[in-house]
Order: sequence, then C-alpha cells, then structure tokens
Amino acid sequence: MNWLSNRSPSWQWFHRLGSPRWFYQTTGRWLPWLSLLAFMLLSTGLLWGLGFAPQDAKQGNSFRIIYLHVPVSFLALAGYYIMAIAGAVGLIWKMKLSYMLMKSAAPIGAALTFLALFTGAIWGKPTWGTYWVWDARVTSMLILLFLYLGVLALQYAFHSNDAGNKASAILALVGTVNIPIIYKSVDWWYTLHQPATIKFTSAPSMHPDMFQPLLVMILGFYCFYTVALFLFTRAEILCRERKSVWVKELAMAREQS
Amino acid sequence: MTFQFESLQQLLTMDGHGFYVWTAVLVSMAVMLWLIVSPLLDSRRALKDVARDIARAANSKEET
Amino acid sequence: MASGFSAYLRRDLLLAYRRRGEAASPLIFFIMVSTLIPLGITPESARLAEIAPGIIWVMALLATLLSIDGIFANDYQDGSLEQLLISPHLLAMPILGKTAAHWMVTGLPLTLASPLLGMMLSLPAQGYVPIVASLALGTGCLSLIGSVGAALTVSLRKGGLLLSLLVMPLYMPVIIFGSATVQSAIDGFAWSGPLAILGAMLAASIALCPLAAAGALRLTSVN
Repeated sequence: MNWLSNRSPSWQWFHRLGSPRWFYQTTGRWLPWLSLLAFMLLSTGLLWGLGFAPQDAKQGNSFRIIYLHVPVSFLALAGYYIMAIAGAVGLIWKMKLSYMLMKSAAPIGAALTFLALFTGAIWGKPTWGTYWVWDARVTSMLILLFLYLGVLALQYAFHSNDAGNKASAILALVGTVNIPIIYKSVDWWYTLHQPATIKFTSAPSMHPDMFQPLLVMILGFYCFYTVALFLFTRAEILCRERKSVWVKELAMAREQS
Repeated sequence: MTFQFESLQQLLTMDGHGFYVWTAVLVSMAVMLWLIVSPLLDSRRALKDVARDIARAANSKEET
Repeated sequence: MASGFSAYLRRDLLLAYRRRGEAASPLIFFIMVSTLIPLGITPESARLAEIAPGIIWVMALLATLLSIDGIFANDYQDGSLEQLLISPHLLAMPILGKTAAHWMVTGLPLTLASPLLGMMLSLPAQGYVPIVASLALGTGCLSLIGSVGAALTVSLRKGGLLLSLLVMPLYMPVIIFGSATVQSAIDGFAWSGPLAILGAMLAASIALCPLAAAGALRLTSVN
C-alpha cells in the first residue's frame, strides 16, 4: 500500500488524522462546544416533546416516549455501522486511532440499544398492554444488542492487544453484512406469525407539531453520541499511550493544578 | 404552541401514563449520564496512574 | 490444481474417525436433549406437533454449536494450524475442506437423524421431507458461519462459549427460514420458497465464509 503513504498534502492530512495525540488535543477543543450543543438540543427537544407537543389521538400521552425511543433506535443502528467502518479503516490502513474509535463505539452502541429496547418496552405497556411483544422491530433490535454484546465480549477476551482489535473489526464487519439479512429475515418471519390486531403507528403519519421536536431530539442524540464517542476514545488514548511523553506531561500538569 | 398540561400535577401523571413516560425519561437520563461520566472517570484514573508511576520512578531514582 | 480442499477434507475426516466417540457427541446430544422437550413441556401429541419443527431446528443448532470450535482448536493446540497458514495453498480452500468435513461429521448425521426425532416429537407427516431438506442445507450454513467464529476465537483459551455468543445472532436467519420451511409444509403452503432462500444462504456462505475465516485466522492466530 505504498501509494497511500506518499507525501501529498491530502494524504498527510489523512495520516495526521491517525495520530492519537492530535485527536486528543483537537477533541479537547471541540468538546465544550459539542457538549453545549448536545445539551441545548436535547433539553429543548425533550421539553418541547414532553410538554408542548399535542397528545396522540389513540395513544394519549404515552406516545411522548417516542421522543426518546426513536432517536435512540436510530443511533443504536447507526452506531453499529460507525463501529464497523472504524474497524474497516483500522484493518485497511492499520490506524491505531481507528481501532480505538471502534472499541469506544461498542459500549455506547450497546447501551443505546438497551435503552431502545427499554423505552420500547415501557411504551408497549400502555399502548399494547404488554411490556414485551415479539414483533419484527423489537426482535431485530434484540438481535442487534446480541451483536454488540458479541463484539464487546470479543474485545474483553483478547485483553486489549493487536489481535483483539483485528478480531473485533472482522466480527463487526461480518455483523454489518448480516444486519440487512437479519432484519429482512425477521421482517419476513413476523409476517408469517403476525397477529391481526397489532399495527404499529409509524412516523410518516405524524402531524408536523409532533414531528418537529422529534427532529430536534434526533439531532441532539447525534451530538450526544459524538460527545460520548470522543470521551470514550480519549480515555482509551490515555490508557494506550500512557508511555508516551505527551501523556506524561499531561499527567504532571494535571497533578500540579 | 401551547403547554399541554393544566398544572404540574397533570404533567406528572399525564392522564395515567405518567409512570411510563417518566420512567422512560429517568432511565434514559441515567444511561446517558453513565455514558458521559464513565469515560471521564477512566481518563482521570489513567492520568492519575501515570502521574503516580512518574512519582514512584522519581522516588526510586533518588534513593539509588 | 492441488487446492488443498480434498487433502484437508480427507485429513479431518480421518481425524474425526479416530476420535469417533467425540465426533458422535453432537448427534447423541441432539437426540438426548430432544427427550427433554416432552419431559419439560408436555407429552401431548397435539401440542408437540405444533412446536416440533422449531424444536428440531433449535436442537440441531445447539448441537452444531457444541462441536464448532473443534474445527480449528485441535489444530491450533498441536501446531498444525501454523503449518496450514504457511502452506502454499490459498487458505480458503483448506478451510472449506475442513468445514465440509465438519459438516459431514456433525450436520449430516443430524440431518439423517431428524426423521427419528420427528417421530418422537409427533411431527406431522408433511413435515418429514422438508425437515430433512432444510436441515441438509441449513446445517451446511451453520458449519460455514460457525467456522468464521471459530477462526476469530481460536487463540483464546475459553473460546468455546464466546464462540457460541458470537455466532448466535448470525444463525438466526438460518433458523428462521429453516423452521419456516417445515412449518409452511405442515400448514399446507408451498415450502420451496423458504427452502430456496436457505439454498441461497448456503451458496453465499460457501463463497464468503471461507474467505472471512481465512482472514480471521491470518490476523488473529499469530498472537
């Protein structure tokens, strides 16, 4: 892969991107703003959705859970792809930082998937009368959680070394290929067994007054995800690079302050 | 855009759905808080460990 | 072209034959655990008939999971895996040979034993041909997908359980379509559709899984 490491400016930028120190310092500058943005978007969206959006005709006030459930579900799925792409970049360009991003994306994605399942279950009780129902969406989300847990388990089993990074990356990629297959299979499976009564009210039929706060929440959650990803990656960088000079200087500076 | 509830009491009970909505909100906040606090604590511990190792190395150098 | 496929197929079959007892345990597990179902749930014929297709499929899946780490683990321990990695063959072909051997030792006996289990679990008459057909194709998929997981965990000490966790989500589409094949037949619908999808999954697995497993072996077994 020699053509990748030539000294042209565009590739220099790409390779600088791979420096953990650069990442740590740059994200250190961005984080305050990103956190503020995330906080403002999330609090605005939540207040709007919980307090100001009109009730749903059929579901009443419990539909407000949508303002948590939908964004979290988006991020849970998007997060898996982010993890897989980071893994692929790490495998192809052998970039340490990319592996660190991949490792950080795993617990965040797993937590968000759990949250998606939890909020979905809580929503299900007043809406459909039961906390758990084996419909296509819930089942697919559960399988996504299992995929995340698998990647996490593999990461821990390898005790944080080079082979572990590669194994996790391969597993994430295999999972990525399988996600459409799994989702389609579960969809099809559900149409075989679908009880006649349950029809999930989906977003397209939403009134704009209900939809706008949802959009704010989705944006807010994307910002939140980025903040969390940066924070986890920074912690990973400090741990992995602890023998390097800049980390030592950072630690000493912190001790003195 | 109007506030949908007559009073704080109504906001909490949400016509009977209050338990579900607020549980979802609280659990979500708890998880999100953990996702922020946990890496911050890890970072702090990593830096502390590095500083302690440096101090230890400096001490043992003094002794020799 | 000496691709290594038949050499490793023969080798693994011979090794399995020498460890006949160990090689037979998935099959015995399959039959024994299926006895737990009537004991744990109900011996009533009508209710068993409702759940028989799914039960047989789940048991086949579990039995495969029991033996899947053996594809590479034994070779890793005695050093022959390293020999495999430095051999001149395209790594995917020996892996395909080993996986085929695994299927012949595990999946094929399960497939052939399934009518016996169908009888024990009151599988309706229309279900027998579909269960054999779906297991024949499906267990092939299970072996292939499992080989990727086995390659990823080969260098870990307690790799077996982790392997099961890793491949379980990937197995779910196979079981969905496998079980649906039998259920459709029992309900009187055409069952060639789900069976065709199983066939497509098998074809894709044959093409892709050895490559993924080869990549995984190269990257992870040199710790």
